[in-house]
Amino acid sequence: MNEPVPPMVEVRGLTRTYGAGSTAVTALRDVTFDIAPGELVAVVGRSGSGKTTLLNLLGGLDRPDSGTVRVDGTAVSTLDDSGLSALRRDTVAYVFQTFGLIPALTAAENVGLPLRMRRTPVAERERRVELLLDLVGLRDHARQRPDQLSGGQQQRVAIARALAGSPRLLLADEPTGQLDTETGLAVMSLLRAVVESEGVTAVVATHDQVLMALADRVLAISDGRVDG
Amino acid sequence: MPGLVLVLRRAWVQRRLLTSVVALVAAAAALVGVCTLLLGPTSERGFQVAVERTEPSDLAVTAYVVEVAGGDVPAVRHDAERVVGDLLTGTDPTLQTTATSRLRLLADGDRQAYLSMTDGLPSRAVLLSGRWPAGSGAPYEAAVPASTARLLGLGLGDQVVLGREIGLGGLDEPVRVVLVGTFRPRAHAGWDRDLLAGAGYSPAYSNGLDAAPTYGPFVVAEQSFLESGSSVGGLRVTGTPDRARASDHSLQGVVDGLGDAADALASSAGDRARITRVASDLSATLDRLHAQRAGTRATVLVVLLLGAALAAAAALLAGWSVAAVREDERDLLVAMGLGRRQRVAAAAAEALLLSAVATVVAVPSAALVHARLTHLPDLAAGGLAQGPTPTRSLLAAVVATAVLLTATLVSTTLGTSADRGPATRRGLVARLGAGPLLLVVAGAAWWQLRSQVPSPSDTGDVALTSAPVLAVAALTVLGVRVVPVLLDRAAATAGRSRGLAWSLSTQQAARRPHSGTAMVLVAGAVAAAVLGLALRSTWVQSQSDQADLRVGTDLSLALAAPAGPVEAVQVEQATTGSAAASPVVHRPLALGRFVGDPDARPVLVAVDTHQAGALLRGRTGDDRDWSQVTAGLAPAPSVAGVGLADGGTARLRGDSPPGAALTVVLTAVVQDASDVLAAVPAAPLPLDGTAHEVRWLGPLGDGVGLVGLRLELDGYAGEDPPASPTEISVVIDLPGASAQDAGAAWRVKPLQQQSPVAGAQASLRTTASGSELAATFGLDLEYFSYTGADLLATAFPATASVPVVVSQALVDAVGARTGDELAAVVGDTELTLEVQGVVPAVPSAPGQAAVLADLDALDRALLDAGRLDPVVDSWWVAQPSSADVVGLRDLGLGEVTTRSEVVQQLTRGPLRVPVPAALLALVALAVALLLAGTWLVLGPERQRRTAEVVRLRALGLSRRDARRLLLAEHVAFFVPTFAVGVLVGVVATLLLGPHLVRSDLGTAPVPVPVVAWPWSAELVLVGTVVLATVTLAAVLGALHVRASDPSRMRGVR
Repeated sequence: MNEPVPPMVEVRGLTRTYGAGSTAVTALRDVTFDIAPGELVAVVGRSGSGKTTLLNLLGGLDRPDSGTVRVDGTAVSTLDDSGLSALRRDTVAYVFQTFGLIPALTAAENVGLPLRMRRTPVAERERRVELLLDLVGLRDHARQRPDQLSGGQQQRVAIARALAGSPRLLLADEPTGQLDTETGLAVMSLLRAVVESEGVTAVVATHDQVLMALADRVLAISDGRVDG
Repeated sequence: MPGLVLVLRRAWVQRRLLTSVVALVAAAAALVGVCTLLLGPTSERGFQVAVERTEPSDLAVTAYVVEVAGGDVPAVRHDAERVVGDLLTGTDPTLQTTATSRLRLLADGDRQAYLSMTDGLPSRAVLLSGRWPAGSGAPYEAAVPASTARLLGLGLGDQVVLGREIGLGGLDEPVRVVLVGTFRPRAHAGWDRDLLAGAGYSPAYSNGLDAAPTYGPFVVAEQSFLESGSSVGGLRVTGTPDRARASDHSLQGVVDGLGDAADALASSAGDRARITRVASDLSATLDRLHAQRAGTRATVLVVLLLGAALAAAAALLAGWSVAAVREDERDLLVAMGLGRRQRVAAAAAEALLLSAVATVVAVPSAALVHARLTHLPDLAAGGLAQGPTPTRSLLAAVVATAVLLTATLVSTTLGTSADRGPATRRGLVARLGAGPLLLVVAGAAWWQLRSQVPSPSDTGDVALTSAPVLAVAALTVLGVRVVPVLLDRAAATAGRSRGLAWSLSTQQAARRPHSGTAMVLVAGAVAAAVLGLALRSTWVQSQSDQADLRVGTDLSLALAAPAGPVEAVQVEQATTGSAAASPVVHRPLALGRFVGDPDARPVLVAVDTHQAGALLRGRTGDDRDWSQVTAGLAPAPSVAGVGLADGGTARLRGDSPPGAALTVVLTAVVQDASDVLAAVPAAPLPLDGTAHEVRWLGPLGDGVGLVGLRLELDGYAGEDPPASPTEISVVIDLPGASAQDAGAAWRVKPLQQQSPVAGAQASLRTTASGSELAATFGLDLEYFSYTGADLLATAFPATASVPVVVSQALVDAVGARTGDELAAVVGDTELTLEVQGVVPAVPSAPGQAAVLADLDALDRALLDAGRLDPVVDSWWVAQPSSADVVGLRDLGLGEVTTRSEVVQQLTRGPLRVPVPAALLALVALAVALLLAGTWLVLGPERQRRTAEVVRLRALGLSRRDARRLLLAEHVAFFVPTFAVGVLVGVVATLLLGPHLVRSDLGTAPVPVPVVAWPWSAELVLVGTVVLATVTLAAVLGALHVRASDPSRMRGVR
């Protein structure tokens, strides 16, 4: 009999409250779930339901009031700043609604940023950047800066950059939120494709019905609680 | 509709940003205010103090009346005093009258003397013996200069008869005076207007007709002078304004009224005087003060213009920062239908509000800073200390600056993001053309500055004022264009590296928004600071160089009257703490080939060149020092002469030819330890074969050496003098005397060009009792009976020419070259000068055609030509102690000038001290604006920087690496910008520095200024601003990183 595969993400009793006293808002309440490696999970819910808080806690961008988060076996909530930096550099990657590109850098330079942080050899870095830009269909736009690209192109660059460091977990917060329907569909398809081709685990917060359909599983959040 | 309410609410929300803006505008306005106060009240105060510190003689007005009959003197005097008093009305003048009689013959008929009366004699002279004359009634009490008493052999109580007046219409009645006192003229007491300039003696004073030995003045009381009935040769009424009450306006009125006063004097004197004149140095004095004031104002204006230019750049930068913060709001309002006119109205309202707040801060700040500035030690010592002085001009300047800057600042916030499309071709051409255009204008200003001949001016110098700001602006605008190119290159290079920091920081630095203005501000501020420091150092060094050349040595004692052995001993005793001291000849020189400006006559300077290395100051023009430059000017070997024993009595013997009865008058020329020569005459002695004791008419002095002896032969040549020369031998026995120079060869020669003397020979031999000097010569008695005979025996060989080093100005004037001979006249003695070298300028004769000679060589040449009277004009002292300076002043021999005092006057005079202070203020201002610029570059971009750091942190960048990254980016931006600034400052200093310095007369300084780099100060300056900037960048970077928590990623645009 095969050994059970440990989950890529293991969340137990996660609670996060903002503010205090009468103005306190509980974004997550005792949330528990697992995500298997290579799974594409869509996190859905209304605005303010706690989707972003959940992603932030998964990626170590925020700390829970109680509960634990383990990513690839690492207890995220106990890491210090350098540990969190290492986690984000080596294990977790983000794709944000606002793209998060560095305006002064070209598309290729933006994609190469995670590799520079790891001091990847130049030739290997350039090969990987070229491969990823090819993957997201922007090979011909490698030397363009963000302000010379459309929103969809910028998000594709952001996805390429997120994949550059070969992360184990990809967190995407409303990646199509600023895109039109057609472009959003293209980005979602791309995400599905790269998750499969790169073998990464992905957690995507979205309202997009298409992505929900593309996801392996949907986690619905309502009033800080997870269903499903 | 956005109105005042919106403006106020927005201001409240953005209060931290606007506080920075108001602080910047207020600082700039305060700077303008301080400069306005420096140009106004401080400048006026400096002028007033300068007037108060001016020598009274430089402000005085003198009425001259020439040749007045004795009976008319009271009335003419009254008229002259009224004219001068009227002219100086409003300045509360002090009047002083001096009258000099016509020349009168002394008893022997060959010599002449004159009477004088003067107000305030005790203030004009130092009483050396006896008392001041008083009373009336013959014999009239008189005091004379000590030199007159010495040369006439007069003692207190001796009576002298001044015979008839010389010239047509002169009185025949003699005047008998009794000597009651001797005095020494004081410096700056008007003795330069005396017939003999206070010397007390002239060997050949000429009244225009005849030249004769002249003595005087015999100063008597006013009543005595009038009672004597003497005709007045010259009446002088000098009016001196009360300096504390004299203003620029009142003094200018005096200058303007000089012509009318002269007419009034001529009219009132009428036929009672032959010549009338009203003269004053006041015009030149005012020109000098005005030139100094203009020079100081020009420097303050330079500071003002540079500061204003930097402040405008800072305002632009601040405007863009505000615009960036308001971009969203502005775009929203425009999208909602806000028109441009409404935006302009809102901006204008905001500008007015901001400028009002800035004004409220800037006016008292400027007044306080100005007051503090004037209390700095140097300015306070210059008498410029003032309390806070809020003036109308201050308020106007501050308001104008604040409104202008806020308008500039706010206007940059008007455009929407839609307005900022791609650069148009016209805009691109304008941007690219601005630098070269500025460069052309700056080049023109530099050329004008370089080619013009600076002259005293009260109106300022446009080129002098505008060149620095144009040069700094042009070079900075062009220079900073290199920085992005360098950063792009660096980014391209870094892009091929593995790491993140170097690559990303250079990319970010190269693509920073509005970096052009930021770089202009930062580089311009650095350049201004470097320029300010170097300019200050160059200015101060130039003043020191000017003082070196002006004084010529460390201390100069300009004698008010000729010095003799007594004064030499006094000076020697007073300068025991000094490194060297030398008597000096400094007097006009007539050159046969000189065709220059008659008012700039060539000057002869002669010093003991054996001490030149220690004594002389100023540049030699090459690597040699003054001892090397003057090597070869001193005659070799040196001659000490025959040492005369104290109390030894010389005896003379000689034979007259048969039938003749000759007499001889000896004049001994003795030299003391300091090489000062003195001529001491003796009573006539007969040549009758008998040894006669020589009775010297003055003291020979102790420890002196006899270096020359003049023999004037006169007497009866006989009934039928032979046609052929008769040999005459004159022997002077000098008991106890020793020939100090082994092998010294005496020689004798006739002094007359056509002389009855032939075959003259001299010999010196040692005898049992001392030394014996003998002169043997052939005498044509027939010729002698008409001319007499005049011989000179000297202890040194004949002098063919005097070797000299000449100034470049003299070379330019007469075209002399090394090896040339120049015909010159010193006094009335002709000399041949041989040019042995050329120097930029001769010490104590800046910019003048001048020759530098050895004093001993000059003495020998003058003596050889028959000039026996002393020619020492001053003493120069090297490295005197403070006790020496006091001691020399106490001697009262003349004006003592020290190099350090002249440096003080040139650098710290009331109209001069603001120059270095303003240049230091420029440095402080530039550093302040540099830091403000750094803040404007780093501070307001918090939002952008935070967003970028958040992105990088989300990618896994640690806080420490994020801080390093930001610091590296700022260093990549600032370091090349600083380098450009330093380079611009250096180039601007090299190009402009020497041309921006003026003398205290408003003219080009002599010597030509050279850039004096204050390396240590510059290093400290650059190091400090780099450190401050890096620290500021590190602190702000740390704050940005702290504010860049990745959890904020979602909200970051």
